[in-house]
Amino acid sequence: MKRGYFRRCAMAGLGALAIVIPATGPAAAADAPEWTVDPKASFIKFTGRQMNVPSDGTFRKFTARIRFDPANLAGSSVDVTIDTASAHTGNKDMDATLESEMFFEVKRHPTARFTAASFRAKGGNKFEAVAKLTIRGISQDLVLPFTLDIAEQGGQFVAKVSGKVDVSRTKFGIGRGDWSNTGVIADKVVIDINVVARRQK
Amino acid sequence: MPFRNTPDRFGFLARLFHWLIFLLLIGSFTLAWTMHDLPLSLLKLQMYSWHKWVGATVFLVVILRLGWRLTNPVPAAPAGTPGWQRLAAGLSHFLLYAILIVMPLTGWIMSSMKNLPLVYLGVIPIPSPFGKNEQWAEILEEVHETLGLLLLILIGVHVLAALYHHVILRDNVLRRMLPWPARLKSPGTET
Repeated sequence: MKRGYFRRCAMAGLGALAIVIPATGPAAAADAPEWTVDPKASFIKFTGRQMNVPSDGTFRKFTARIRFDPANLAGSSVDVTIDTASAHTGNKDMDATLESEMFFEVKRHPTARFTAASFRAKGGNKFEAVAKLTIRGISQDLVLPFTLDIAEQGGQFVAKVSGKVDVSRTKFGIGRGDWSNTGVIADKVVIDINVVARRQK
Repeated sequence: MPFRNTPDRFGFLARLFHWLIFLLLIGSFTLAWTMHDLPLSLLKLQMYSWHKWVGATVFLVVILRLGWRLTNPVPAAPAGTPGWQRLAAGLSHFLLYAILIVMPLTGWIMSSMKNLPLVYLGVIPIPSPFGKNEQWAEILEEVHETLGLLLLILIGVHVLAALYHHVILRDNVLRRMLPWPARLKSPGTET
């Protein structure tokens, strides 16, 4: 008897919440329109340093689900899945080392993921994404500042996104054993993102 | 101790350049042979960087040395040296200089092509203008190694020729390039 009473109260409470949240909370925003990434015009570049020598590379394969509207940041979200085996530096030895268990360990962690569900307008074409980056199964919060320029081209919108952020490789366990030595291999890796995406008007 | 060359002996600076390059080459070859067969490791990366710094220093010193040579008299070969020996000496000295200039250049261009550009002493970035290119890097690597072998052969000839002058001919040719100021024999004296 007593149990039934509590359950009724709980149900009523949940019901009330269900009415209140959509009316006032952030989930109220309708989803922003979805964009299709142009993979040929887009790249994710990374630059690391050893002995202060910069070496860069790109992830050649990634998929992105982007919902974004500068006028509806609350309904915007980004979810990028990166194929870790697609890291390409133009140096076979380096590529093999990045694939190995010392770095990305692509056999166990074939993908890295970047998700952002919260955005801040910083004036003009500048924005910030409050994001979560997961590499090797380790998640880190980061803030990605980026610029966004939307133009109309042949009946569709074309968006250019460009952003740059520093990450600490050791926080993701990138570079194990000897390779964790940040005196030779810098902890800081610069990630450079350039994405071109389109959507129908 | 004369700083500049005189018609019969090398000055302090010319001898300093010669022996500085000698020491740098010992370092460079030692690093090259050791690092090449190491598995990829922190030590290997460090040794490659050191090797590049030493090679770039050789390049700089050779350029300075050639500049100094142009503004100084070059001590002549001993009187009575046969024509073929003068020619052989001229040719081998030319080749030594040429390799000491070209070899660092091939290494420098190759480094950028392998996405590991030169950062001199870990401070001054000097990327080559040719960018990344793995296929060309492999060709340049062959060239670099072949030049290294040729350089060793030429150094061998150079040392044998110097010893020939010192031990067989007993002239001043080796003596005048010694790192310390050696007393020269006056021409015509026999011992």
